[in-house]
Amino acid sequence: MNRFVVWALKHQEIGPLVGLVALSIAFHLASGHLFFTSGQISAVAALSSSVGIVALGVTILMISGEFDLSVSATFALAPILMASLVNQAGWPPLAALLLAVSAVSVIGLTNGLLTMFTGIPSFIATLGMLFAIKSVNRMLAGGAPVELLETEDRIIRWMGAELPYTPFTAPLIWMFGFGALLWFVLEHTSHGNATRAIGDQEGSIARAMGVPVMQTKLVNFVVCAVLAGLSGCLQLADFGYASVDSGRDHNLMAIVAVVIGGTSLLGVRGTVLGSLLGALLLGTLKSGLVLVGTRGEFYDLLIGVLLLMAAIFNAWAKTIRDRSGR
Amino acid sequence: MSQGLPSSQVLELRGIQKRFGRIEVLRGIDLSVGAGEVVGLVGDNGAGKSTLVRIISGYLRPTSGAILVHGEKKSFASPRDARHAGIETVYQDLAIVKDMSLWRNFFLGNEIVRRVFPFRVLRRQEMKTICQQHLRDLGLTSVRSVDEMARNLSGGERQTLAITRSVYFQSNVLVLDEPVAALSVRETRRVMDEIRRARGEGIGVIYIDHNMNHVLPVADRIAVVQHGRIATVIRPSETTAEELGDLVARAGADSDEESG
Amino acid sequence: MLKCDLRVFWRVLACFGVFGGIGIRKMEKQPTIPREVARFPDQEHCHGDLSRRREFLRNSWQMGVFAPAAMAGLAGCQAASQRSGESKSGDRQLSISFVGAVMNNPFWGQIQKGATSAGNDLDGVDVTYMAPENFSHANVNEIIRSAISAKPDGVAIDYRGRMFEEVTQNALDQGAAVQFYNNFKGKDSTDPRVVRLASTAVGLDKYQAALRSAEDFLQLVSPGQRIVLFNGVPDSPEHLEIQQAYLKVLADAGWNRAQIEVFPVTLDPAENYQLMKTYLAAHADTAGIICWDSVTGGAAARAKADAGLDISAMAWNLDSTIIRSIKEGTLNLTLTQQPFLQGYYAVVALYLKITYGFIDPPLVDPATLIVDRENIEQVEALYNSGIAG
Repeated sequence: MNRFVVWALKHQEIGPLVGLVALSIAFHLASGHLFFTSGQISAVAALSSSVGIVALGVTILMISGEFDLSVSATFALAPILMASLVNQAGWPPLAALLLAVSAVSVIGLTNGLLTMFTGIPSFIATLGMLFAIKSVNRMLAGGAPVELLETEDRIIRWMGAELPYTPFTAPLIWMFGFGALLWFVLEHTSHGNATRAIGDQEGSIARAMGVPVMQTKLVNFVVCAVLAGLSGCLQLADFGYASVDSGRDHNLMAIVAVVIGGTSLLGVRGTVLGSLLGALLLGTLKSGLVLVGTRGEFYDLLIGVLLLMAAIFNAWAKTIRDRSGR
Repeated sequence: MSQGLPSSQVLELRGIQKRFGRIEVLRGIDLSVGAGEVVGLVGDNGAGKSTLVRIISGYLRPTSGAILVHGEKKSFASPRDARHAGIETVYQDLAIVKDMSLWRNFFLGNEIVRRVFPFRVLRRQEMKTICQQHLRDLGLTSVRSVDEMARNLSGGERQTLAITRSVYFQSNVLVLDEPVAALSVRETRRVMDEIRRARGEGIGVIYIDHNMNHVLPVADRIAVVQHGRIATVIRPSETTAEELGDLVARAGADSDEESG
Repeated sequence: MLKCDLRVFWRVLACFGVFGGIGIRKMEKQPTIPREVARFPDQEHCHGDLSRRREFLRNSWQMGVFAPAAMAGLAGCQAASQRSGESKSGDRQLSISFVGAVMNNPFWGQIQKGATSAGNDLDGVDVTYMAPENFSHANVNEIIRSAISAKPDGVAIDYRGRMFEEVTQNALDQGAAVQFYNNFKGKDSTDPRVVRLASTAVGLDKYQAALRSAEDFLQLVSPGQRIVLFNGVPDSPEHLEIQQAYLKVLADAGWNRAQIEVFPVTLDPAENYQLMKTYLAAHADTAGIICWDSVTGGAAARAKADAGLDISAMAWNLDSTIIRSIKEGTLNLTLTQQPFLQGYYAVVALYLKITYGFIDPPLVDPATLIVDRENIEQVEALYNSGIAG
């Protein structure tokens, strides 16, 4: 096999990166040079960062061998809570944000404790929580979208304002920021090492080596829920409202982004950068398809095709990597 | 803090019993390992050796009985506690994560870190150097770099990695469960050298092997485990490999008769 | 693991005990049955010897066991009462089950409000609104089925087609009064009762509504200009019908099908906004936007405004964004189907049927109200009082 290709495949993020670049160029050409315009880039940035931040949390949890399907409901809960507190109780936005984040961290903790103490797989436990939280959202929001009335507050602007001289809004930068932080934790801290090890054989190896399995997993569950909630709040600061339907597909889309990026559903092997690229790829696809005038009925089909292609590519790249290893 | 008289017994097991539901796997094990002593543990399959290993390593809790390290009673809530008490174990299935690099596996659970609140940041370079050096010492020269994935190593190389790891971290007791099963003759000899070296440093070693020819040359005492109990304790000078094999087989047959 | 199982078990038992206890205590405290508890008429038969029961219930743990038994008993009593008497007047509560399409949504929330307000305004009427979490014909059918199994006096059904025929017939066979609302379907049924119900529904014809709104909207655009229809609920057959209605209306007004684009979006407002912005950027020659729900309409108004384009836009239904967009001028008009009135009139119709025995109260069309810059102030005042048309 061509040595260059082998070298490239050693870095598993090359796949999604090349895909992203190729897709963007293709859309740019097919739409009559409309893709790389500020309006379009801002749409891609908003769509990607919304799923991307959620995908970061899902990635780290997946690496330690667990799933969280409740993230889409958590994504809606945090901003609904935050906006309600600001609008109806007159709380300052920062305090409302902190309370919303605390509430979602309790959700993460519940997800973790449920999984670990009842023995049901996290897939099922978080699925149950998804329905429960969705009901809570409906009760809180009462049906209509919740609008954030206080938009000039500094915290809100830090969270959602447009960045000067760029077409992006702040959530994109937050996505890269959280991405960098999570990458650092995964690569350079003992928590990251523990997270990886726990993904193997349901943590029995890690446990045998004295890694605090329960603690690490709980932290990851909380991180996942908090990132989902934060993403919702960032979207609230940017877009101005939240409803029970905000982020309704994000639980599955986050998994799509993570898989496109190359993280394994079986745990241990995972890449934060890959998930970011996966999210960008998803955002590019969604808005690019609109740009080139694809019929709406085909969107879901094309997202499915992208997912399959990316997953097949990643699997193939892995065999190349493994084979060249020894 | 020692609660009794300082003991020359590095590890003492008193009346260890383990029951899984209604099945009693260990029915009262009494064993002691002195500092610088190698105790071989032999017995047929199902005799309870692996369970005993798991209890010593903290992976399982005994139903009753006591574990003492240097005369001090210890209760291990998890393998972490056992490792803190200085007990290192090489498990039969190695406990190596295939998709992690060698140095990460080496330092798993015991990483060298620098505290940068709230994180414990890995000192990667230090760990890589140590890992590289120790692996080389144990003869793993074919490894190009410690950044390689553990899955790229052969079975024997992984076993060497697991042993090197435990040898590096050992401080009181070293437990080896079938450590040379996949190793070549030369690699096996190196492991035996390591065991002797550990003995020389005053570490208590528990060594489990099916192959009597491995156990005899290196053990100071050999305990035969039968049916969840220590049936006999024998000195290598008092027996040969063949006799020992017969003893184990007979013990196995007896237990078959017992269970009918 | 065993330890934790026990803990969960005790907790569940404790919950049973607490709720059972609270429920029973509440019943004991009040001499008359409060509205909320009285789902089932004819409670007098069930009370028995109150003082003896109080003593028995003194042990709180027994309440945990008593609660399910109590519920079973009550259900039994209710069934008994239904069998015993046909008289539906007098001082006992009328129970009406109002089955909606979905929970908590600006439009359906208003239907619910209208229905429950009627229940409050009318003496002796207890209205329960129920709807599935996620809309689908099958889900609504299930809810109707559950609703009528509790043997209500009346049930309001949004009849959307053949699949609702059986459950409607079951309700009628049970002796419940039935009222159709919102959609005017069912005239093609083989059961004459269903046909009659369809002819006396409370609601409006979506096609007529589309026509009515188009009358005003088409004054803002001219044939040949590009129009985009944003369908916010592409999986709903009803939304599809409205979509077809607009296509027909536009065709009749002189548009070529090629000049009209139908663009399905989702229910996620932020995502819709981004996709619509992208769409408008790609099709800068768009002259008109038509939406027929408030979530999509609100997002479209913002997308259009943020893209800085001057496009005529319309939506259906009301919520705070729509109201503001109309005031700001980013949305030209919205149509309200007066859902509050639909809910209200449907309950009144049922009341008349049950209490007075009317066979076919007349068809009520709450009328389509076009809301635009001219009447937005009045509508806003009504909206702020809690009722959105």
